[in-house]
Amino acid sequence: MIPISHFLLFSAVLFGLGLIIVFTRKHILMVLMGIELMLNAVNINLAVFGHWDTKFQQGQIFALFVILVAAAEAGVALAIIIKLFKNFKTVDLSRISGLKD
Amino acid sequence: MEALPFHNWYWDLIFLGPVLGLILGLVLFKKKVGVFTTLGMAFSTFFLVFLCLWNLDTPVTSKIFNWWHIGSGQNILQVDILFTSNRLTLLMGSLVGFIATLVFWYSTHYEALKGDKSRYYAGLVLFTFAMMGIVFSGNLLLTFVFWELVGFSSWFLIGYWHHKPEAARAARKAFLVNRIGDIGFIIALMLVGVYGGTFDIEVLLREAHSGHQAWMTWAGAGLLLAVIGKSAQFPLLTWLPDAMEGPTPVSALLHAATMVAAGVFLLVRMFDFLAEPVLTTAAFVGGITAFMGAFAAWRQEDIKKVLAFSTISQLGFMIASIGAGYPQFAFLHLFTHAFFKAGLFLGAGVMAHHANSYSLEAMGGMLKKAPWVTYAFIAAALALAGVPLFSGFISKEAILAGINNWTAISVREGFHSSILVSILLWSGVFLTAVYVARMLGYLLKPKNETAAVSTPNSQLIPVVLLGIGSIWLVAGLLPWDFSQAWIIDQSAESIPEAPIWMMPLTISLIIFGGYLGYRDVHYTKQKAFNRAVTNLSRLNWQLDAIYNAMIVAPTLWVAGMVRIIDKKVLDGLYNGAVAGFVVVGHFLNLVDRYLVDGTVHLSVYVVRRSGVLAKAGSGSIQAYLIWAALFLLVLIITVFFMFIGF
Amino acid sequence: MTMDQYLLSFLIFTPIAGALLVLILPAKFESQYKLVGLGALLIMALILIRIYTLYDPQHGAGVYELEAFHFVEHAPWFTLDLGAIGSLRASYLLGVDGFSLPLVMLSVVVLLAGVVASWGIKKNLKGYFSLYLLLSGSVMGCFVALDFLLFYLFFEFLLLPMFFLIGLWGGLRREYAAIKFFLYTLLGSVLILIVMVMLYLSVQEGDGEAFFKTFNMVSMTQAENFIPGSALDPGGDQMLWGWPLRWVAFLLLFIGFAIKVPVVPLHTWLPDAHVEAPTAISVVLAGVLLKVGGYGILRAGFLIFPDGAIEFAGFIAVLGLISIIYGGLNALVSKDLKRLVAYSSVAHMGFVVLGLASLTNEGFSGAIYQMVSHGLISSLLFLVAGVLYDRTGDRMIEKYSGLAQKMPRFTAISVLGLFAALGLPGLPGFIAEIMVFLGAMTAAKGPDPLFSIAIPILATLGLIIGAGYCLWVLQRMYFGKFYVHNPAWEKSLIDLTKRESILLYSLGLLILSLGLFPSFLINIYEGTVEAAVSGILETGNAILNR
Repeated sequence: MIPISHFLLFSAVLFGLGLIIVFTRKHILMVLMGIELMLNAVNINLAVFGHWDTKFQQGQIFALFVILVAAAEAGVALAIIIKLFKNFKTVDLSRISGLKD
Repeated sequence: MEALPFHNWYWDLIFLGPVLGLILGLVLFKKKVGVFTTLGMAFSTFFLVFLCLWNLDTPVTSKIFNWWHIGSGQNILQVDILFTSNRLTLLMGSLVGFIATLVFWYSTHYEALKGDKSRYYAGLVLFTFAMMGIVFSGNLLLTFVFWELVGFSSWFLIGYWHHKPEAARAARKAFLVNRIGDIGFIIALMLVGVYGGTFDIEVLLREAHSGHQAWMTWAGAGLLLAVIGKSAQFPLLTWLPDAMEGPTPVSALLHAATMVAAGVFLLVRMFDFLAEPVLTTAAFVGGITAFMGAFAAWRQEDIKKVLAFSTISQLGFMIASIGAGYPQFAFLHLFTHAFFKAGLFLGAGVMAHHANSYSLEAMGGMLKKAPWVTYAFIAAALALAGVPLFSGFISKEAILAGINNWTAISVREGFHSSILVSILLWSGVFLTAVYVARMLGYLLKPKNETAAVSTPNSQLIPVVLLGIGSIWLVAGLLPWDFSQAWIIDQSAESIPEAPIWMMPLTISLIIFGGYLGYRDVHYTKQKAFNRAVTNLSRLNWQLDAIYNAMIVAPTLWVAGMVRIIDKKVLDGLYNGAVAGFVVVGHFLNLVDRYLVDGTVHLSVYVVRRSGVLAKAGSGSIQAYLIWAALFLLVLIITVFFMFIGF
Repeated sequence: MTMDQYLLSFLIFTPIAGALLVLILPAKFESQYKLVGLGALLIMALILIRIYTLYDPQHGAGVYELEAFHFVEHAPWFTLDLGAIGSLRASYLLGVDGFSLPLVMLSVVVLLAGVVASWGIKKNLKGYFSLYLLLSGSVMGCFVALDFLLFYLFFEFLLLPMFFLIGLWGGLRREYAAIKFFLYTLLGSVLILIVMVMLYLSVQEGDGEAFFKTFNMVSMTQAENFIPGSALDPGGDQMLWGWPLRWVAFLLLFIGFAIKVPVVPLHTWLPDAHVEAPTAISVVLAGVLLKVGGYGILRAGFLIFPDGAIEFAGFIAVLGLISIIYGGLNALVSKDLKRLVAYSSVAHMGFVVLGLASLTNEGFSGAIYQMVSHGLISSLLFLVAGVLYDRTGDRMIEKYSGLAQKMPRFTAISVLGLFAALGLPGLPGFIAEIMVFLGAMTAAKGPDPLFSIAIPILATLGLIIGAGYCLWVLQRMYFGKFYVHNPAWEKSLIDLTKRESILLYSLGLLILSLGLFPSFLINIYEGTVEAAVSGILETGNAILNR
């Protein structure tokens, strides 16, 4: 059997990659993808921990919920991005600094 | 003589005569209220004398009703209205009634009482009523009730002229000093009620007769203290001279039959109850008072003051006699004293009206102005001095014989200081002669004035009657033999023999004292020593000043201190506690204002200022995210070290 | 008559109904408010007469058995299920016995006198009379309630109207006095509340199989009603700081009521409250409210905690002695007539405390007699002070002299009042004091005395001091040359008016008859006193010797 540390290491790497993408990429869609990566890293964690909960499988079920919410969130995020693009005429995050006021 | 069957309604006749007279007078004829009251009093007196003739030697105690009681069964404490008729009470009652009748009569025309006399007569009736109560009461608690009522009515009558500040002060002093003595009575009542279980005097006397117990000694001491107050004995003698502020007939009543006599009477009545130490104390108190009073009477200016101090001194003789174990002689002297002292006061009242003053200096030439009154006065004064052929001689001889006997026995038993009492009493006899002679000397000093006012019969007759009552026949048939006196009960106790040297000694003391006293009138040289003696005598041994300095002032000082404690300490504690709460409240207010509000303000401030931080940032989302992640990291590390680490 | 069993309720609710009526009546009828007050009090007096005629001491002594009380009214008030600690039952339980009836009688008389004395009130009549009637109702409730919760409720209810009556209608420093009164009494109430809660946790009442927690004060007097092992169980040994909890509870209760009595050193609210309160309120305060304290010590303190009563008898007697002497000395140096009377109240209530501490028939009898007689005498004296204050607005003793010449009738009644205060025989104070002395002496007797014989003997000093201040007032204010501080007063110093005469003379007559015929009062309570004394000694000693 594959030891649990491998799964955790894998998800941590995945989460780290996602985080770096979110911090560094300028394109807003890339940032969105980074977020998706982080979410999925968490999902892996949940699924792995759920392995011990033989009775209710709470981890797996929670992972399903997260996927569901992520889908919905992605929908909302895309809608916001479209709105942003319409306002700022760009998807470059370094040009969008309206929060600073 | 066959005794009469005794009915309870007899008591109504005895007590209610003057009361009914007063009420009838007030209702029917207010102007003549004095006459009605006098008639009522005379009626009661007449009835009492009648009872004396028939029932003198058949003691009767009648229960009128149960006043109140506490407890039930074995532990019941009854307070019954009991009245006792026996030899002592009947004689005393008749005496009180007789003197009171004369005083009431005398007062009907007493000039100084202007206008409406109903208040005055109400006071007199209450006074006599209360005294009758003391005399006949068969219950010690009831005796105390009447005892205090006597005090109240004396307060009322001494302060009768209440617009005079001196009268008001004298009245208060009389009541207050008496009250000090009454503390003794109350302690006696407590002991009697609790240890004796009854207030019935006859039962108590029987109990004491069958064996003295320790509590009886203390109860007796309490009674003695009460008597010292009421009969103006040392050390509570200062109120009586001041009581002269009242109307003179009141003084006559107060000195002769009611107030001060009550004390002596109580001791005579409770004699069997009194233990040996109490009696010895009484003998000394009496001796000291007899001497002090006589000395203080010596150089007085005011005739009423002379008489007042003479009363104190004579009461001292009586108390000493009781202390020596001869209550009968004390009672004999009380009896004779009542007549001549009432005569002296009433006579002094008449003479003062003639002289317009009570000052001895102003009194000269009385023989010309009011001869009959003066003769009666002289007779009474001679009786006071104890001159042979007058009643005072017989009773004083009796007392001296008794004291002599007591001293002899005491000395034989090794109690040598008892000689002191003898010495004090003998010097009392001597000084009495001195001040009486001095007083008479002033009265008889020739003065070229004729009678300006006439003496009404209602005053003349009582004074003359009392003057006649001062000769020896009132006391007994033989003017030299006290053991044959009318009122001495031969069967009651052993009558001591007077030693053969006693009569010559008293007579020579009286003559020598009389000579000195008479000389004193014309003695005008004022040497320093003489002046000092005069001052000491006139100011009654400085007792007032001493008491003021030693008792009144310290009490007021303590009271003042207590007031300060109340104001400063107790109120201070309260105010301090309240102030403490207020301070705490203020403190909490500060905390509220600066700490709680401050925190809120701080956070508002911080939030507002953090805008600066934001300005420092790029405004780009990613920068914020980095910050957020950093803070998260810090948080995780902190939490890790705080709760999990270490 | 079936109405007769609700007489006590009528006694409580008549004045409260009167208060409501005063509140409802529009301001147009302002001058009728006092008539409403007088009417309510007169109805109460009628009810009282009915109670007195029906009262038969043979029927029962009260104290320990509810059946032996008179005019008992028992109705469930509310029941609370409290789960694990059982259920709470508070009831509307009224009844009188020999302890409460004399005080109820006294209260009605004093409250009636107070209403007549309130005739001259000008300010805010609606408030005044509604508060006064509310006060009257709570006083009645206090004396007849046998349920501790009910008693406490009425006890607290006294506080409120009193506070406003002093604080709104009082003299110059009325706010200070009112707040002082309020704080002191509140402190007492808190202590009583603590003990009440402790008692509630400890006492149960059987009802067939089920047991209820109860506030019934009669049940509390019985040792077997305490839950075994509870805080105040007489059989248990609950301790607090090394003291049995029962003793602590007794002391808390005693202090709580002692504030009301008042006992030195908790008395300083009294002179201030009296000096500032309007005349009628002073009368009620001295005549009735102080008695609630004495009654509480007896009913709640001594009967529920007989062991504490015996244990602390000496301590309480010393407090009584101190009150007698201390109050008297303070009165001696008081410059204000009302303050003097207030301090004399402290001294007189000291006799009540001393009598209670003696735990004897004589002492208890004396204490109750003293409460009644002091209630009447101090009322009379406060009215006397009020008469003077009404005329000149000044009560300083030194500002008057020789009043007897201008106001003979006023002087006569003052003489009666002051001599009654100093305990002249023939007046009720004497009977009470001699009984207290006898009781104290009995308690000091025997091989195992409750306290030293020095206490009754020193207490007699109080009589001299009492005579001192009473006579001094008479001498300074009434006798001597006529003088008033302010010449303008000379005109306003007229003798008693008709209303004042009726009021003062009838009070004086009552005092006189109480002094001459003490059996009238003693008969009412002697059985009760005997039952209480023997019960206290028996149960108390049994608990202490356990």
